[in-house]
Amino acid sequence: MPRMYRVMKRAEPEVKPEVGDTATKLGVRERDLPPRDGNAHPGEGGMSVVSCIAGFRRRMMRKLCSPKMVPKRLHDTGKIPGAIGSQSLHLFRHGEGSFEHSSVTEQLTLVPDGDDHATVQPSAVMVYADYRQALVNTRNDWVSGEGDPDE
Amino acid sequence: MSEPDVVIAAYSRWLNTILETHAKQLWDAADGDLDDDELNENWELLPEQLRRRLWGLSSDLFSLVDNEKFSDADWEPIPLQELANRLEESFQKRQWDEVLDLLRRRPRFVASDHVSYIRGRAWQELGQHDVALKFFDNASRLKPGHAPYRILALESLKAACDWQEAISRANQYSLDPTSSPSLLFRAGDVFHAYSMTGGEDQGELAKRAVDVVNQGLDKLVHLGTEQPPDSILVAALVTKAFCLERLGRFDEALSTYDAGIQRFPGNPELLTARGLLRLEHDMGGSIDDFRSAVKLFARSVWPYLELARNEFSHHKYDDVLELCRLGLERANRDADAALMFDLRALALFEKNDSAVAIERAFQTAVSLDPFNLAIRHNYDRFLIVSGHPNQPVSGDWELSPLPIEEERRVLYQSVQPSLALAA
Repeated sequence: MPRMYRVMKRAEPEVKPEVGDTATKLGVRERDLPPRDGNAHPGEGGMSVVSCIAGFRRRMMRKLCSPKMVPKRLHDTGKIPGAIGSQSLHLFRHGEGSFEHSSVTEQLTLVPDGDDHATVQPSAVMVYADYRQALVNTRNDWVSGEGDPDE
Repeated sequence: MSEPDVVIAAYSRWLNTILETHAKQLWDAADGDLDDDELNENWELLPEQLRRRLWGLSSDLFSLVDNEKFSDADWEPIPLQELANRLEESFQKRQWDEVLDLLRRRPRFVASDHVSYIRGRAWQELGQHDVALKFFDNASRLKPGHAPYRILALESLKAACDWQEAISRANQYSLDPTSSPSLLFRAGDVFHAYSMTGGEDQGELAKRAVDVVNQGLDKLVHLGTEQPPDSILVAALVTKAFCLERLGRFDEALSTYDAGIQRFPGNPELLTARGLLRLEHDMGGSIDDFRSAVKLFARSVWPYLELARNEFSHHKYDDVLELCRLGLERANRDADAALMFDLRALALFEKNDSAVAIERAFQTAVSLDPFNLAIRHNYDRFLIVSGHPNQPVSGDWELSPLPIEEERRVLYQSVQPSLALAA
């Protein structure tokens, strides 16, 4: 199972992500994977993740995400200078394997699409709601990644 | 909205969001979490250059609370000399985004207050005076009592039209016995600048400006007092004289210019200003001042125009043409250039120059200022006369009144000290 990172709102008091279809929750926005005939198709997008903290920072350096999408705590630790996102956001990690095209679960596949970035896509054509549920089903496997080394 | 408008709106919204988030420390607020996809979509509308600028700003704003962080891991190390060279080059080429980026690189060799000053300068040049103010204030915090940083903050407040805060600070500096002459001069100018915007109580503002500038002048006579740069002193004298004139204290205004010209005899702007003051009371003296200002290559168009008109009335047409040439090099407004072309056409006519050249000058004048009735009158008259070459020619030309308030405004702008010099 590949190792991947994503900033999401933390569901207090647990260190687990909140579920929802926004950029900072465990879920997917339709603009990131547009449904076709009510289905989610592989190869057309998915939930965004990055390979490591340094990868996250490199994406920040290319300014692909806004400073409000990263918890300010990561500025304080020097990991991502300029971050001003809410402290209720958290950097989560999932999995331990290589960041390469591989299965996340039976229904989900990690598809790298550039330096440090990938999307978690449906492994096969499935009902859109099932795809979303498959993402939600990973919730318990996300843990804090804020103390991890950079790479 | 057009695409550029959409980008400008998104940039403005993000700039304000970042400033507000820092100012109110919204990351700690219970409702401060971002779940705003619309705002994020706005981010995606921004070109990379603006996204870099905003991320950098967010990072730099932490320096205001001594919590600036660096992440060198993702940059190639850069030797100090190369970093200095690149900073120097970017600064001189006015590549402000590059300057801001390089200031985040290590090794840091510039003092923290100066880093903040340079950031302020960059944002000032980028037209964001509210952001510049934050960095100039921070520079002041890091180097308390350093007048240039306070002056730059005042200039930012003026440029941002935050008159309430500017006047509050100007009053505070006038009450502070440690304020330097430079700071008092620029503080006095706040009142004058505000009065020029049409603010209320113009008389009171003018009086206050004179009082505060006088405070600075009084301090100058004490030994050991910081001597301001010439440009700041010249600007202060113009401010004082303008305000005295506004208060109807003509003789005092004249004395102020006399003293200034005695101290800076080679300053054409002071001569121009005195020439404008004397226009109504002492025409001969006024023309002498304009003539001296022209000899000293004055930067504003007015001495050239005023003197050219005088020479025209004395039939010195070659001189008029030369003054028009010099004045056109300095005319920043189309309406002023139109006056010069009109005068050029009249001088060419009086010299019996070619009709083609005369008409070309008139046409240029009319195209530059289509609503100037005097220029239209002259052009129409030329067309009539040139159509009947055997008719006697009278000097029935019209010279439109010169915009004296505009002359003063332009002159005032031309004596404002450079921001770089202020620091």
